[in-house]
Amino acid sequence: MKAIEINNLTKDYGNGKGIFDITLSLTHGEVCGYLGPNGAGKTTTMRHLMGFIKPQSGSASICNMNCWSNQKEIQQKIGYLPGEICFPDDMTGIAYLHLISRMRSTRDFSFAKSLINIFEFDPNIKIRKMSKGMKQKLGIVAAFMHNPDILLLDEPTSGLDPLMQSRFIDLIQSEKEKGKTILLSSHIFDEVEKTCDRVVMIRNGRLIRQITVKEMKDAQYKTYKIGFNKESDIATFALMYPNSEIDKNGKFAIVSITDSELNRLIHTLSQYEIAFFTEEKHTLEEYFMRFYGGDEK
Amino acid sequence: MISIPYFKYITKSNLKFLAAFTIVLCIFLIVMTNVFTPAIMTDTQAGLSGTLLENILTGNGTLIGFMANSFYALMAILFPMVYSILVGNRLIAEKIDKGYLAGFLSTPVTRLKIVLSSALYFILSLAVMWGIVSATGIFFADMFQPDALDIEIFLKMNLGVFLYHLTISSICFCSSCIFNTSKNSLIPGAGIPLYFFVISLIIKLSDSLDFLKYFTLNTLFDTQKILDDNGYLPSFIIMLSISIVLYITGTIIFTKKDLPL
Repeated sequence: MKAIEINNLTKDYGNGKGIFDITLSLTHGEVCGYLGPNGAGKTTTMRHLMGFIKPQSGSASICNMNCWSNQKEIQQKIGYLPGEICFPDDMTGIAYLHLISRMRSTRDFSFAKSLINIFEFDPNIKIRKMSKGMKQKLGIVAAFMHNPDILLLDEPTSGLDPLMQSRFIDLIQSEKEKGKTILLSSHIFDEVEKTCDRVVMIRNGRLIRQITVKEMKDAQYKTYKIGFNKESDIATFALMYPNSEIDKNGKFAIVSITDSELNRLIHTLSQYEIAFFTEEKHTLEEYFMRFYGGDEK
Repeated sequence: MISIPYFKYITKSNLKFLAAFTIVLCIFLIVMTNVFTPAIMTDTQAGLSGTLLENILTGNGTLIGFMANSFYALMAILFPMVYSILVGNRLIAEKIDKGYLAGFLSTPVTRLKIVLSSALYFILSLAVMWGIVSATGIFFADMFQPDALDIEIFLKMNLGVFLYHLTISSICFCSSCIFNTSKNSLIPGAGIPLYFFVISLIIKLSDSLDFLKYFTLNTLFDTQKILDDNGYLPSFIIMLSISIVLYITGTIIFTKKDLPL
């Protein structure tokens, strides 16, 4: 039995918007990254899994139960963190958590308390007065506190500072050890690399590639920015690396290579006077676009 | 069929509106029982005779007759209507528009329970509102003008106005269930009730506009028929039927539609 199973799911909103013929399944205990540019259809897929939207054709099911018709049974197993997070603003964070907890008929509030401690936030203030980051933390607590088997997380760390992002990664890793199934949409490489087993890429409503994180890392280009002290050096370097981009003022070059080519690059560079050498960080989407012809429209 | 925690939550979050509108209605009634003694009523009628307002404010000289043509023609129509427009939108459409319905739906509480809890709150809150107004009216009428108020007619009047507002609330509720944004929900949710009210005012200006009575719900709440204690039952039944149909329609639509959450 699959934890999450999506078969030929289609929802056409017209003008090329929507999702088309999505087939995806997650086994129990699997953590899967769901990547794609804004408007690709990640949230639409999650809404189908939550039973908010009725499939036009195809189906979405969780633990063999149809997502549209079995809301009650399915919601006991799911924790959902929406991409655009909102709360009723006339109550405090703790009142909201207690309300959700009562609506789930769960008595145990201890995990919620430990989550509040992990993310170091004060739930006793009115939601109206909370910052984006605090609301995000509240959303995380609400999604995890009833210890669900399956987690649907839509850009879970947006609005969190780097320290809290790393605590979130720790949380995902510990949930993964408990055997949770997680579908996680993200833009942050670190997050996906450290938590996911597999990555699925969606663009314009269609799945374009599924690979393991290991494959992704192996095939990963890294981009370096190299500053030269002499303009003549940069010209000879450009001859050796014809694909590199050369700065107009002749100060630096940008080159993209895989790790296997790194030694050759260092060897080449040792013959020049180098001003600086830095790695340029990419978003996850950029990596994928580069690899799988994502630039074409 | 409902979720008790959710019902408590919406009760709490709408209580201040219910309290405010109920208090305003009670104050109007108290003032009316206190100020409009038979002597004043006769004077007012004499003063207005021959003017346009005579059509609007005339009564049969009793306290309930005077209330029927002032309180039940204006304040008792308009204020609870604003309550229904406001709360109707808040109950469903606003929660989708702002997005926080997603949090409530990510619990085992189904859409059906959410929508039924909301409908129950809406109906009960109007019943409580008119229950309190009725009790207040009877109490203060007895205090200021003992035996002046025909309690049986007064209660029928309140039942009628409750059914009228039940119908208005069903329009607001159904609209709130159909639309996903406050803006769109308020177009019919506020537009239709206000249109009914405006038409009902226009009718009173001239006899030649009498045909307009077929274009407003207010015709079904006919205070004259209740004062006569005769012939109001069919319109009560029609209002109740419209309410039931619209509440059920809204409920079904909400449970079946796509939610952009």
